[in-house]
Amino acid sequence: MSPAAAERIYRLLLRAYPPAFRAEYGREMVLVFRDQCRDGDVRTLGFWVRVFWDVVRSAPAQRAEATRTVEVIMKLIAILTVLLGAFGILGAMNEWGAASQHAGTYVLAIVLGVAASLLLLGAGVGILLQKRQAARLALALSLVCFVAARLVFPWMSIFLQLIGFGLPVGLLIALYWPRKSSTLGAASIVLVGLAVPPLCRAQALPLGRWTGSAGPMDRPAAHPITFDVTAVGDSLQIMLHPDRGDDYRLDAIRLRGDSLRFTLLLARPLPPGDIPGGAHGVRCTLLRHGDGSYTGLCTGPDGMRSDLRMVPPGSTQAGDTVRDLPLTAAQRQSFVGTYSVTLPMGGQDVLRIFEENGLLKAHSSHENKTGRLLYQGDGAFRPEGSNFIITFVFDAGRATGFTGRREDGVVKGARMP
Amino acid sequence: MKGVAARSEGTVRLGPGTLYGSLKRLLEAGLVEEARERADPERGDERRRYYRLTPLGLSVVRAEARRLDALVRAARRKKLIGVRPA
Repeated sequence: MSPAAAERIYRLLLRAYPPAFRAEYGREMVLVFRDQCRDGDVRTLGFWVRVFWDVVRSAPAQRAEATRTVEVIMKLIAILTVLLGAFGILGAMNEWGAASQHAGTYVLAIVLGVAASLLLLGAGVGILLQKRQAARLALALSLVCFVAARLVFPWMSIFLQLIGFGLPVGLLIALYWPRKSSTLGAASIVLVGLAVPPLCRAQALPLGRWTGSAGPMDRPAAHPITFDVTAVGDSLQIMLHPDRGDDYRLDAIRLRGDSLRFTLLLARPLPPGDIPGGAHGVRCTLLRHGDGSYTGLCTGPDGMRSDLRMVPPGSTQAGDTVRDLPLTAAQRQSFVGTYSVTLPMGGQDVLRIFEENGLLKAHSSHENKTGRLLYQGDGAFRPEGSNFIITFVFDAGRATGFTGRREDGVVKGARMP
Repeated sequence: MKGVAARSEGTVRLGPGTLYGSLKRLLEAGLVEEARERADPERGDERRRYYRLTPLGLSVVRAEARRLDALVRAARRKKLIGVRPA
C-alpha cells in the first residue's frame, strides 16, 4: 500500500471525529499521520492496529464531549430562539391593531420587528436542522432589522433590546467559533448589557420640543405646555414651559421601562426665605403609550392632583392639546340625543348625550359612566380624561352620528330614532 | 509523539487522535496556548501549529512533578523501588 492510499484511508477514519474537532485539528492530524507513514511501514498489520486503536480510543470521547456540550446547548438555545421568535411575531401582531392610528415610524418599527422575529425563528429552525450557513444569514439579517427597528423606535424596552441584540450576536459567535462560544458568547452578552442601558438613558426620550397639557383634575380645561428635552452628558435635562407663569425643571427623572417619574422644581433661583408656590415640589408619575406619548398624574405637597400629558416631537399628536371651547345653547342641543355605538371588536354601547348646567355630558351604558365632552372645534369632542377624539357628522344642522379612533380601534355611533 | 515514545521508553505511544484530543482539553483548561512563532523557523512545516505551556500550565506541571516526586520518595523510603532484588 502506498502512503497516499494510506492517507486516503486515514482521511476516511477521521470522519469518526465530530465535525468541529475535524475542522480544528483534522489538517494537523493528517500531517502527523503522514509523518507516521514516513517513519513506519504502512504495509504492516501492527501499523494499522495502532492507527485504528488510536481512532477507536479517542473519537468516541470527542463525540460524547461534543454532544454533551456544544450540540445540546445549541439545540436548547435554538429551541429558545424559535420560541422567542414566535412570541415576537405574536407580540407585534398584538401591537398592530393599535399601530394604524400612530405615526408611520411606529408602524415601520412593528414591520421591522416582525421581520426580525421571523428571521430569528428561521435561524432557530436552521440550527435545529443543521443548516448552519442559512442560520448565520438569518441571524445577520435579523440583527440588521432589529437595529433598524431600534433606530426608528427608541422607546424599546431594555429586555427586548437585550434579546434583539444579544441573542443574534451570541448565536453568530457560537456558530462561527464553536470552540470559543462560551467565552465569547458570555462576553458579548456582558458587552451588550453594559452598552444598552446608557444608550437607553440617552435616547429613550426623543430630544427636542415636546408638547402636552396639564390641568387640575377638578377643572374643566387643561393648559397647553411645552417641554424641552436635552441631553447633558449621558443624562437627560427636561424643562417645562407652561403657557403662563414660571418655568420648571424636571428633577430626579427616573425612566424605567414604560414609566417616567420626576419632581417639578422652579427653574428660577428662589430668594432666601421665599416660599415657592405653584407646582414646585409636585411629583409626577406618567406611563408611556404605544405612540410614545406619556400621560399620568401629578401630586402636589398639598395633595392637589392634576393630569399631565407629554407628546414627543414629530408625533402625529404633536400640538394636540386638550381644548374646551365654548358652545352656544343651540349648538349643544344639536348633539343632545341617544346614540347606538359600535365598539372595537364588535361590542355594543348606548351613549346618551345630554346637557347639564350648560355643559355637554355623555353617559355610557356599557361602562355605566358619565363624563364631560370637551369641544375641540369642527364638530370634534374629546371625552374628558381620554386621549381620543370623536367627530360628529351633521344633517340639517343636527348631529346624526360620530366616528372616533381609540387605541384599540374605531368607535362608531349613530343617532337612535 | 516521537519524544513521548522515547521518554517513556516505548511504553506510551501517542496517535494523532489521542494527541489532539489531549491538546484540546489542555487548551480549554488554559494549560497550553498556541504559539504564534515557531520554535525553530528553519525547521518544520508552515501549516503546522505550535503550542507552548502557559504560566498556569507551568505551575500545574510543577505541582504534579512535586506530587510525583513525593510519591517516589515515599516509595523509596518504603524500599518499594531503588533496591536491587536479592
